[in-house]
Amino acid sequence: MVVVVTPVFYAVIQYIIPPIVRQKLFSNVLVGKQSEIPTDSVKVVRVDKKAVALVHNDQGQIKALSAVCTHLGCIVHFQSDRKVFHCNCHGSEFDMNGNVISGPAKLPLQPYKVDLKDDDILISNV
Amino acid sequence: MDGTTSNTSEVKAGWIRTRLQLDPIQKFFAGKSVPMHRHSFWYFFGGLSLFFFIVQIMTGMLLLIYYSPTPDAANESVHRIVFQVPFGWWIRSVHSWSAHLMVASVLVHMASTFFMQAYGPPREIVWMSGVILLFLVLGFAFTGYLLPWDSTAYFATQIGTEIPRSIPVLGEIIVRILRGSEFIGQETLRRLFALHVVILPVAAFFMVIFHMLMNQLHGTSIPPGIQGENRSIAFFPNYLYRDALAWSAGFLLLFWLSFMYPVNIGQKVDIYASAPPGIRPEWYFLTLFQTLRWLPGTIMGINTELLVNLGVGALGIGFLALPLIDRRSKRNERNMFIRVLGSIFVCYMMISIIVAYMTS
Repeated sequence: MVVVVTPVFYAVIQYIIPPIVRQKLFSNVLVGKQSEIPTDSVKVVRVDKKAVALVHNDQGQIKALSAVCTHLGCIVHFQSDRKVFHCNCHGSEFDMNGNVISGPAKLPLQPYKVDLKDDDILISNV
Repeated sequence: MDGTTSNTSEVKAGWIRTRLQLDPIQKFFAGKSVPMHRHSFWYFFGGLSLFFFIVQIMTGMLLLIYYSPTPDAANESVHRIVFQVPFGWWIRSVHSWSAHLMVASVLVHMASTFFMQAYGPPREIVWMSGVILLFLVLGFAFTGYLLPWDSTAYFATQIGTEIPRSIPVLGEIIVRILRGSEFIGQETLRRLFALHVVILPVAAFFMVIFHMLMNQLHGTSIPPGIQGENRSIAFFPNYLYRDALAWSAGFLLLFWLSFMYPVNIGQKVDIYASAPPGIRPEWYFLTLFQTLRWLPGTIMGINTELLVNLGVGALGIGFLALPLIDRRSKRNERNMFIRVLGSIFVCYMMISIIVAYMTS
């Protein structure tokens, strides 16, 4: 009885635990155009089921940051009047470079590699 | 074991017996016996049907964890179960093979009950609930077939839901009820899924309970003509022990089949593509399939599908009402006519299945 039940039980437990889905690697994915994002503002786009914040800072640079809060995974939103990313869940705040300003989050927003080709913004997570 | 430990165990057992009111149940089973004779081997198939039904419920619940019942995601979710989830291929194989074995054991159980004329008084209701369970089991098989949303499943459902169309007045309505719209699509998948995982299981669960309860109340029948050679054994624990051995054999067979012959998954359906070559239903629907192939389009000016529909309907009703039709069984006498009729039907089923396999 034990010889039969144990492997079946093991298989069922293994089945219930979902397999780990590895993060997909992508490179040079077109996510928008520079001209669509005014200076000192942010545009959030979806790439591979993830929210990505495209930042156009006052020095004219384009950056791409994950919009997922590094605390417990909520999506942050950009407060244009204060120029910070704010997380409504637990109040974490990040500057336009993704660095932590305040709140329970300890790690910065994950950056993506950005390539500019004419007006196109291409990002990679490689 | 010292006296104190023994006393503690007895107190605990007594506590449970009182709370669960087990004494009347124990008393009932203590007085129950099962007849033993040269045909009593066939009694095991009732228990085996129940065993495979339980396996179906358990593996079905596990498959539900990952399955998505939408045309966009259904096939991908089954692919994920088979190729990504640990042991997913095995759980799916066990579900599929236990469905085959459940249909087979239900058919054998029905056939043995039929040929042993166990439907005679006072077991008419036991027989009728068993026939309803057979219909429910075939309903499970039909509704589950579309869920992987591959080409074979799609076209098999297309054909299966098209057959009732020839029935006057009701045909169109039945087709629309089955499909949820004019064509096989999102609505069909949703409705067959609801039938497969909720409506049919609930109906089958209550019908199984009722069937078993009636069977316990009336006891196991003894076929006419062999009363003289009959002896009996206690249901608990002797027969239950034998039943457990039959369940173990069923489990081993299921284990072997699911490992040696894992079930395939086809590519996602393309509703604009032609039907794949060699398409045919599962073995338990092959008799109907082959009958439709054998018959011409019309017989004496009447649409063949209509005749087949009427034939299947009449057969179902006749089967259900068998205890009321067979007058000899009421007097507990052998009915050779019914047995010959049954034998012809079983032979026809086997021949049509073999021919369908060999020619399609």
